[in-house]
Amino acid sequence: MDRLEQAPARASMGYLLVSLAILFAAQASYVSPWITVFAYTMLAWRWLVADRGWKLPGKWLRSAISIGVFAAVFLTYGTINGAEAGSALLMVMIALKLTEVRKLRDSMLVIVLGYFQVFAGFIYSQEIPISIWLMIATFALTSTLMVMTRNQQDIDVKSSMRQSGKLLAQAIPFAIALFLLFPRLPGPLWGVPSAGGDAVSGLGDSMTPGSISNLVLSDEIAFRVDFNGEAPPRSERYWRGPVLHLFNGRTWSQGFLQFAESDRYERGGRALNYEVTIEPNEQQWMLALAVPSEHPRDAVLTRDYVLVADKPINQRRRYEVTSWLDTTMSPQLTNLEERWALQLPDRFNPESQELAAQWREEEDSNRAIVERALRMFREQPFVYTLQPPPLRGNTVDDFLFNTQRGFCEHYASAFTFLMRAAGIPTRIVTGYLGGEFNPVSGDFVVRQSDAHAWAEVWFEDSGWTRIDPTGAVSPSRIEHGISEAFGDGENVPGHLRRSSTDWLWEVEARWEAINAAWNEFFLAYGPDAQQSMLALLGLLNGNWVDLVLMLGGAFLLLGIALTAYLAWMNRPPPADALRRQFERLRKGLEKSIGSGPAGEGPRDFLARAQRELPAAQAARLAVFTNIYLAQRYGAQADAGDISEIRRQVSKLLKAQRSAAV
Amino acid sequence: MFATPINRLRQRISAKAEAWAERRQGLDPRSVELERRRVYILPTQQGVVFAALLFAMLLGSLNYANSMGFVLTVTLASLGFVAMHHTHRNLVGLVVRANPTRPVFAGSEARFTIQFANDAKADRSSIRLEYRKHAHGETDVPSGETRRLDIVVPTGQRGWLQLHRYGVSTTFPFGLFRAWAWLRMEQRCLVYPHPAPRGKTPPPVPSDYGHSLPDARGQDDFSGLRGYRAGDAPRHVAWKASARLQNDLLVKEFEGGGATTRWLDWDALDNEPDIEKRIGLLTRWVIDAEENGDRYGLRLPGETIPQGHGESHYHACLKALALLEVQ
Repeated sequence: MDRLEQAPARASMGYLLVSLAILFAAQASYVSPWITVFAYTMLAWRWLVADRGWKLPGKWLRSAISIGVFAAVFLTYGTINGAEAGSALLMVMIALKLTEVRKLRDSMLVIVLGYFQVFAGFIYSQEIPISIWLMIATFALTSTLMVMTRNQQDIDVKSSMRQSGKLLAQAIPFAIALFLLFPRLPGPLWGVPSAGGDAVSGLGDSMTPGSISNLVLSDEIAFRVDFNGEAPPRSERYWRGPVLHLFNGRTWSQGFLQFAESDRYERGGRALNYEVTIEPNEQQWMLALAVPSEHPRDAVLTRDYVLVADKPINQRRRYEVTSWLDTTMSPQLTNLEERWALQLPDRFNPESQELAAQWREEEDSNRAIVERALRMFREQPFVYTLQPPPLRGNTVDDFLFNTQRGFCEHYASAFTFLMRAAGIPTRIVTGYLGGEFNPVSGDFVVRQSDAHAWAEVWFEDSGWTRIDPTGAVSPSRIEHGISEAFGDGENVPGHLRRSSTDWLWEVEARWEAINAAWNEFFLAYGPDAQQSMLALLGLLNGNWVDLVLMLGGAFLLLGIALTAYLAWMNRPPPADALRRQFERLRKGLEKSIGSGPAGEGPRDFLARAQRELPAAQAARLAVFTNIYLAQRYGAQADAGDISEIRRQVSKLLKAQRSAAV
Repeated sequence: MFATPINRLRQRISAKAEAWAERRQGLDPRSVELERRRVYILPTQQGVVFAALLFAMLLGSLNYANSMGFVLTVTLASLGFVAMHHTHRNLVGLVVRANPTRPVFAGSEARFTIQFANDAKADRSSIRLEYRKHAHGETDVPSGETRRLDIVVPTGQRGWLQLHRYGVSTTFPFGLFRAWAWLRMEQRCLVYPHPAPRGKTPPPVPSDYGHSLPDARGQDDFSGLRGYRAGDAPRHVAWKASARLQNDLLVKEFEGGGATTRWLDWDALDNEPDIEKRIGLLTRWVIDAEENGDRYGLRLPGETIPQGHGESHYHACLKALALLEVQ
């Protein structure tokens, strides 16, 4: 036990510090900069201590620094929970621990903390680049563990890396078996933290001017869709999210019906089956095309025909949905629903109210009024822009009669206002429109920049019917997507200017396809995937017992292979192999020349064979004898290579056999 | 280590285990190949900490359904599993030999040299020698080579110093597991008595005992030079003449056998009541007489070593003194 009390050698310490430097680089991308600076400073300082023999600080100074640094971490993050604060805390803990590493025991503890830091990194993000980097850091830590165990003054870095690499390579088959077969849990054991670095902000549960156009500035992927069968055209790919009823003059928000379950609709039209992989967004919307009547069991279809998960989506999740595209939504409207769909703030936007009243008088049907409104958007000089001027006072009036520049949210909002003022039940739907096909992965990528808002108008003959006023202003937004929707003078973010002929676009498509595969097959590997794997193997109702049995079997087989390999590594020295070759030769030759006296030694046997064999074989035997005696008794009896001996024996025996026939 | 109940329990268990292993294995020959059945393996303290880390990470990965966390956990777990086999292999098949020991004077350190031979194709790394809970060095044993480590034991009493059970262990590659084997070989070191301080009690005058040379000039009668032989007294070395040669020492030779002849007699020290002190004095005299190039004999209770000189004579005398038993 006294080994751990030794002081780490200077070279081992250097090795440890380099590994930590590699590890910290992965965290540097997301912890507060001062923590990174602090950690690297400590690494450099600890090296000087090891190299120059400086003194480590005393207990009081150490405690003072520790208290100060921990307080600073707390002040920076306001918490010590969560992936970011946790990583930061571990990083300063490791850095501080370095100030008291005097013994091997301490440095081993640092390595264990380092492994835990890698784990915290994965909790923060499992993106491919950071995962690769963290695995490199794991390897560095592992070879440090070996270096520390040996704790030699001189380290052969290459051989340390090679040795630990070899061990890691041998561990990988076991790791694969464990990864695939260790039974996973269907749900968390305790609370799951927020998704940390992976979370993207998505659609909110309300809409104010600017909330959608802000979203459009983000290039993040919102979700990916894999259609089983032919995909509908872009202009039909309206992914429905929160439906908004209440308007206070500025903000649209949901009514109280949001979570009531839908009960009145008839499926119609063709069924479309597809799978959605949604990124974590801390919301509950599971976006789908109308009307997703077949959906996962942990989601409900609300009265607004929105699919809502039973808890916030804080991890990437994949769900399968079947939508009936021509379903009539709500053929009847309850009084309550009608009241919500007609709600307007009193004495607000008088000009718009007046316009709506005028339309009501002039037109004889609701459809005609809708058409009238769309015609207004089409014919008057309305502009579709990401940078609308701010609206003042009666916002809808200001927009319709003054600025006439707006984004989808402005058009949807103004349209809905007008319709309600004309007495037509109307509501706003937010969601996404379109999505780009990725030819590499074969699925559609829907980004935050595809966020959209439109309206649904209730007609007696067709229920809730989608009307998209943006289409009247900018048809290309609907037909070709947002990147085509703006005029040349518009100052739009670069990612919206992408064209599909761009080589950069192609690289990005590939990268996203790789990411999608990574997410789907690797990160999403869980109980369901294990279930289907068992089914593939013919175990239809397989459970964790089968998994454990298979795991045991795999370990048994792999363990036998490993033991056999190690026994081979421990095989007897080549000198014995030499002896075996000699015995093989003796056995072969004695068939023709007969066996000699008991206890005949190798030299005697060779001399006898030399006399009794025919001349040709005798000459060969002389060659063998020379090599054999040199290797067995000679000065350079190291016997590295016995292949030459083996070749000679084979030739001799073959010649002897053919001579005998 | 603190004397907590747990530590006491641990000590008791390990003492029991050692006794069991010793009963099981008995006394070993001087050369032993460590077979599978005698190589034991257990996780180290550090291995237990590592396992705790793995458990925490396993729970975390399961809870957060974090695939990369899972990859990390199962990779490290597999690494530990593979490392356990490597630790075991690192020791199994190692050939351990006890080299002959050289006698030492009481008070200095006895050195038991243990030789490790690696006949396997693979290298063996960080092989440690342990004796009485202390490490006595660590060495790599590359394939096909031998290495030595010494167990150094301080000596107190004259006589045979028995090497007790010693351990050969390794924690290579990662220090997570410790494989070890216990060995007990019939290995002992002769401890000569501690010599009395130089010159305190001079040996008796040669003429008092037996016959001394008629010519008192004795060794001064220089007759020529010859090559150095083991046992020649340093003061007979012809330093000036030797310096002219490169590698050899020359020794002055004296006419007529030249040396003083004396008996070193136990009974002559009757005035010294302490037996060990008496033995110490005799030891001093033997050393001095050998250095002087005298011919000397030793008379002990129950044993007489005839007069002679040279290395083997010298050691025979010291051995007799080391093993002397007086009622």
